[in-house]
Amino acid sequence: MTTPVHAVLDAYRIAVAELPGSAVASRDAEGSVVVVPGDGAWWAAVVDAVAAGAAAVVVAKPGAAPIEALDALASVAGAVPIVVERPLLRADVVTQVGGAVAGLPSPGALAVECHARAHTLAAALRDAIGWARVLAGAPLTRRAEQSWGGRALALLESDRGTAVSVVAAAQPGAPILGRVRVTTIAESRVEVDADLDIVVAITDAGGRRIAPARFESTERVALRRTIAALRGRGQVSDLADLRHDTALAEALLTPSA
Amino acid sequence: MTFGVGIIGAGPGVAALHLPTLARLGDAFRVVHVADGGSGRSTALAERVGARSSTGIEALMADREVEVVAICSPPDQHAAQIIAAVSAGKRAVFCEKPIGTTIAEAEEAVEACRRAGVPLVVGTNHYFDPAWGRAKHHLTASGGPVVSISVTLALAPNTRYHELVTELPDAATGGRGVPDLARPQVAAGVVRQLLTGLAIHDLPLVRDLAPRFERVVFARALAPLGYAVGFVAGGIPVQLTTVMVAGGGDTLWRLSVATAADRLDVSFPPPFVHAGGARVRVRTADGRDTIYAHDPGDGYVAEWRALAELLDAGLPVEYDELLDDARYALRLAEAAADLMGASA
Repeated sequence: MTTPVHAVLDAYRIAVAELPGSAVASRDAEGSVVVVPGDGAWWAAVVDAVAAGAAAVVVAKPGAAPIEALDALASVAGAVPIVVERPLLRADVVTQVGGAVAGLPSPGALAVECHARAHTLAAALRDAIGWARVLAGAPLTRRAEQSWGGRALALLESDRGTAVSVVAAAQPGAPILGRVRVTTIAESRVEVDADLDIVVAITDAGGRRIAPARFESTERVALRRTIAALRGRGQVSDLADLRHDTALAEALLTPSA
Repeated sequence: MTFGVGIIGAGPGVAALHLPTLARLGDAFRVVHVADGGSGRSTALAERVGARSSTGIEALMADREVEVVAICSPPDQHAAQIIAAVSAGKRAVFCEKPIGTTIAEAEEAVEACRRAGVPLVVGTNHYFDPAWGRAKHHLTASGGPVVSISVTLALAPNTRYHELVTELPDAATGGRGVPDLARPQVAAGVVRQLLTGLAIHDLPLVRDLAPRFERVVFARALAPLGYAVGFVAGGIPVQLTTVMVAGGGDTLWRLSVATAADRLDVSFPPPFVHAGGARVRVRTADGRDTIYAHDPGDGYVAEWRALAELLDAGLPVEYDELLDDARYALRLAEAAADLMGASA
């Protein structure tokens, strides 16, 4: 059985071709997985896709969205699965890291470093906060922050008491999507270093292990997850996670009075 | 020329750090006297190197063979002991960081050295690490303006590294007490003390890049012992995140500097060991990953060598730099503690 996919982006047409047993290209939005490019006001395009009868929506590499728009989108989407392709926060790596830290005590602290060109800083910080949420294993709350001139310092805290220290700055020479590093400060130390690739290292008394590189495209991962969700083989919380991460990133980058 | 050293202090910092370090400096120094504050531990340490021992500082200051005084006592005694060494006519002072617990103390101690022309070296080993010179050169030559600084420290128990450089009696290893961080005054005091005792390893480097301290944005004590502090200096955001972990992986001690063009990591080796200098790695936007050659020299040896050069060559001492380093750290510590007190 193949799931119809309506995509205008070449990268997703390729991903469909790489899933010949699961996906098939479709000209119609209705009843299909609709791929929405993540530039501009992409949230409006998602609303349109849902209204057109999309079975599910994939948002490809979304730029930063206003949190109000995402809140509104959540109420419109209803039961339609929304999958978000976030290359700095690859879902397959998130799953892998989540498994690795599942048995560990919550870290006492996390250090987040985030750098990106000025126009992508909000999206990069959103994804950096996403990693902090994953590594802390719980939602985060703001405790203190200041922002000025494209730079920000903040202290967040997880529901489990993990302190999350954040530094973010616009960096003209940063990689196209930005550069994010999140380090847990604990006996078993997890470090996620994401820019053009994502490198995950876990250090404990036994040594330092580097997680294997991922060679599957992020587009194919997004499509696989969407199809699995439609077939009842997996739940997606992408939109809720995106709202959590966006709300914090937006607040952290709002210039202080 | 060999200079006679008198060491004030007989804790693990002397047994596991300065005595093994001085042994690496050949004939430049010879330990002739070790003084403790009443613990009685100086006797055994002095015997190791064929030196005299005493309690208190009077006998050490009166010892004519002591030309260089190494101050490795608790921080609240540092300034007074610097002044005492100058008053006793000693030729030079090596002082562990910080040189004072208040700005007034630090100023008094440095001015005493300046007036008497006594060389003073502060044991800021990360600043003396040859890797910092390499990193500074990179930042000056090709990095562009600094946009942020982050120091991340997961400090494994010191005893793990003591065992690699010395043999301590069991009683000397001790353990870290766990303060009650739920009490705001205790938490503020812990952060203040850790900033001037631990973060101070890196603050001279931070000041090198961001010399104008402005304000603290957040400060929190972390369990079991540590801190998360964010401050602004010269418009640059600086993040300090430290936890003393009870076990697990080896120490991570990383100073990361993001410039307009790249990210430079200076990864220091664990404390006490002599594993060469820090590792310097630069990541650029296009994915280039540069790891600079590793220098076999380390900051502990370099700081003592610097003192020998000051004595041998009569080089000028940068007293104002030492004082500004102290002011920077103490202002940060006060501001962090004040913020924690205000928000309690």
